[in-house]
Amino acid sequence: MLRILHTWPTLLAGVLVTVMAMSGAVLSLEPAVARFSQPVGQTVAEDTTVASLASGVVAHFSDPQKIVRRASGQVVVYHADADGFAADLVDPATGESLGAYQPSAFFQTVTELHRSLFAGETGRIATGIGAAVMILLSVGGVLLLVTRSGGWRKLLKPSSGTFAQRLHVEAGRIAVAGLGILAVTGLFMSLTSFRLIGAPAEDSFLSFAESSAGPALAVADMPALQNVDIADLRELVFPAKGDALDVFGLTVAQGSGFIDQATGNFLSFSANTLAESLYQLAYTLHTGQGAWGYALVLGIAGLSVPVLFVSGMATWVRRVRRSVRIAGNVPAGRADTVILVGSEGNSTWGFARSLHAALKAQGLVVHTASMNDLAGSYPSARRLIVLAATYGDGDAPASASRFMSRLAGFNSQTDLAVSVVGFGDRSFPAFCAYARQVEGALKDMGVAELLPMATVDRQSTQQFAAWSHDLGKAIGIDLHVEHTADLPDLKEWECVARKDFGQAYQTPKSILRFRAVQTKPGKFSLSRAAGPSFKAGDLIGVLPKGSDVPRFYSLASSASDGFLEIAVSKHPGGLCSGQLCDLGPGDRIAGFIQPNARFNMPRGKAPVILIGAGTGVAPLVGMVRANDALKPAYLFAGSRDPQSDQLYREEIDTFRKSGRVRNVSYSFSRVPGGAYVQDALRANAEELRRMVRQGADIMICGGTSMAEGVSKALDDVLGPLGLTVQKLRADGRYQEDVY
Amino acid sequence: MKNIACALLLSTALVMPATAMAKDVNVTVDMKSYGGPGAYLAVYLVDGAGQFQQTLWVAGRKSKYYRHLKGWARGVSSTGGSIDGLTGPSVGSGRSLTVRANIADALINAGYQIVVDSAVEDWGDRPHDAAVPLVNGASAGGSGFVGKLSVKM
Repeated sequence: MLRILHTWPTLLAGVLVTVMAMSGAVLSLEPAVARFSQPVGQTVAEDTTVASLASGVVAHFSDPQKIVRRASGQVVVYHADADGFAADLVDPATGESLGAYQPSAFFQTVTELHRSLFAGETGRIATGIGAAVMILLSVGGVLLLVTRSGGWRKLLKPSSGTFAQRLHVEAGRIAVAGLGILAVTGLFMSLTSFRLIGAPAEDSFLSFAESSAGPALAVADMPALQNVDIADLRELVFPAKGDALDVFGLTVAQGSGFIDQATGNFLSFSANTLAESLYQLAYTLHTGQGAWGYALVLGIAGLSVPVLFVSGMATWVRRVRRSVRIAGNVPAGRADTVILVGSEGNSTWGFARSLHAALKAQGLVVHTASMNDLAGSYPSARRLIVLAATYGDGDAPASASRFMSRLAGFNSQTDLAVSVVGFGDRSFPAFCAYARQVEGALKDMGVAELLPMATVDRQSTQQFAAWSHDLGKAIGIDLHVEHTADLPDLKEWECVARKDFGQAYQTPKSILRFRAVQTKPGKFSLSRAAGPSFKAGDLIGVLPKGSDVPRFYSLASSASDGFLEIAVSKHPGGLCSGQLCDLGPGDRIAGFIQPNARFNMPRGKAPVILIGAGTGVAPLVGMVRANDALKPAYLFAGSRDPQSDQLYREEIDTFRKSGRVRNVSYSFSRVPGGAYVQDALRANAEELRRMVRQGADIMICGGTSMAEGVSKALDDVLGPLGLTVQKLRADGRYQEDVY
Repeated sequence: MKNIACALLLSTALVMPATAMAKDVNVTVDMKSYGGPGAYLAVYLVDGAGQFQQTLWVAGRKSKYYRHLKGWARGVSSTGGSIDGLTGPSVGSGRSLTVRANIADALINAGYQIVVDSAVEDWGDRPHDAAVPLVNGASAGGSGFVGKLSVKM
């Protein structure tokens, strides 16, 4: 619902709002240009009165019409010369001309575009609507971000998603305050100009103040002007020359009134109403007149609008394009297999589509629908497969918002069995929380379990393929679904070195070093000259020959090291690991860097506890190598046998000497009296608690079972501190890279 | 480009029914290129003594600004009279306004004058900016924002 409120106004008024924002950004330069291109004159004494300014002006101009003091402090006198009209900047201290006042025709034109699109009253209505749309988009955007990140306090956590999505979130964060101010004040001014708010009682133009027709008093002697400080002056309108009945019109910060030219006293003065004061405030906040620095900040907010518009539209187009189109969908009543999809951004639909096609190819009769379309029953179905993402802090994703309430009326026949797959991102504390709720609810209804619940972290192709394999076994078919999201641009990497370990075991390991193959000079040479940027803990997606599904490996080096390094464990029959482990110097692979910011070395001075096993040690070593700040690092490294598969022994020794790592604890599982890393954690409990008390971050890299063992061990270790892994995870201090 | 405003003045003391002796009079106001926003104008008829007689046209939509057309406003407030149907948009810098009025023959060549008051946001108010006698072919320059005021019938 929120998203609809964010999308539709944009589709209808996005261009309008963008034009307003860009013209506004241009206008934001005006206060600075005015300030630095036109003289202000002498600074005047604080107690200078309007009477003294006006008498200076009268002395220097034969027919002054009006004195205007601008927010910048500049004083402009409009007067009649031989042409009939002229405007001069004058020195506020003396009333003497500083030269012709020439408001920029350019800024006037842009102002007209900004407030009426060159379309008069109609245009003004349109821009008022534009301001209202902007309010809707700002508020909606913040609420969407809150929902998405799982709470107000997590509003500033790093954004995730496609480039366009991240750009949208980051630009929005920078600009939303400024845009909110601009939109609210703009709408206020618009409503005021259409007299929808703050309209004073309509006083007829037929009634106006008149002077008492006596001989005119010198302006310097007028009591009403003597009492007004020049800083409060907005404008002073002179009576028409030769018209003894005409009056002075004075507008000051506090209100406006008319002055009898014979007595110099106020005929009337009306203080600003609340609405008028608010209007002045809105005007100042909106235009930044007289505050050129502030105006430039608003200009930057305005410039973000085209960025937000384009990135938002790109995201929308992507979502629409990738929306539900299932080839050969069978009606629910006939299907033997039902796939239900709970998706927020449509990426889960991609998995559903691939699964649907694979099951259909195996001769199953498959019906795929969104979770919101849960039927009352599926009479022919034997299998129910639920693919569910999680929204924010454990909420239902968009296409499952009504699922739980519909489930109450669901009749499950006895031979129906369910498999739930949760999609999510482990960096969120509520990882797959909604899928777990669904699984629990189905279990409570007595629906049999086809497979235990599975999870897929950040659209992992491998994890989904592994589950599909299990599904195939449970059904009795051969199933292997490789679904992959759209791939980024591939780059060539050339192997420059390799080192082998653990040849005695079934899964030998290799450390491989690559360098980026320079792209052809010319095209993009400027932006790519430095090569791709990456940090230890980021991922490389490697595309093995004979498959278009990338396999991800954690990087054991940073771009500043001058090489890209990964550790690979060769799995029997593994396509990609086999190809990688056969590489020699000079051989090339195709791959792309996928940033993984949550698994980079944490910033700051707090200590860090690095826990890894097998090839999982590699990215941690990469972080240690880049630890130039020498922040306290404690490495727990696990492997099978020091004689065979212990990676990075020599390098770690060097790092210990240079202080890049303070302490190292090795665990070996396949030696007499062997132990796992989790045992080493328990053995060093006191030291770990000390570091955690100092605010240590914990980084874990390795296989799933190792990560579970570590999590259990750390819960035991942290117990005395009243802390849990769950709590650290929620605080962003517990990061896992698990495969 | 010209802003042509057509005003049909019916059934008043000064303007006779179409069958009576009356003429279509075109009053054209050419604005100077003063470079500011659109001007508010009041085009009105005064008698030989300068007494306000009749509004011919008011350019500018917002009545809250009409008080700036001071000579005209003072005349209207003293004599009364409606301006319903006699208003149109303000007239931009360098542009022209043509007002067509049906005026009784008795007033033509009889010492009556057509007067224009003008006012431009920020730039100031010009009561009696320009004036010409109500005579075919008469024209005069303005002292403020009006470049030329001319009469044709």
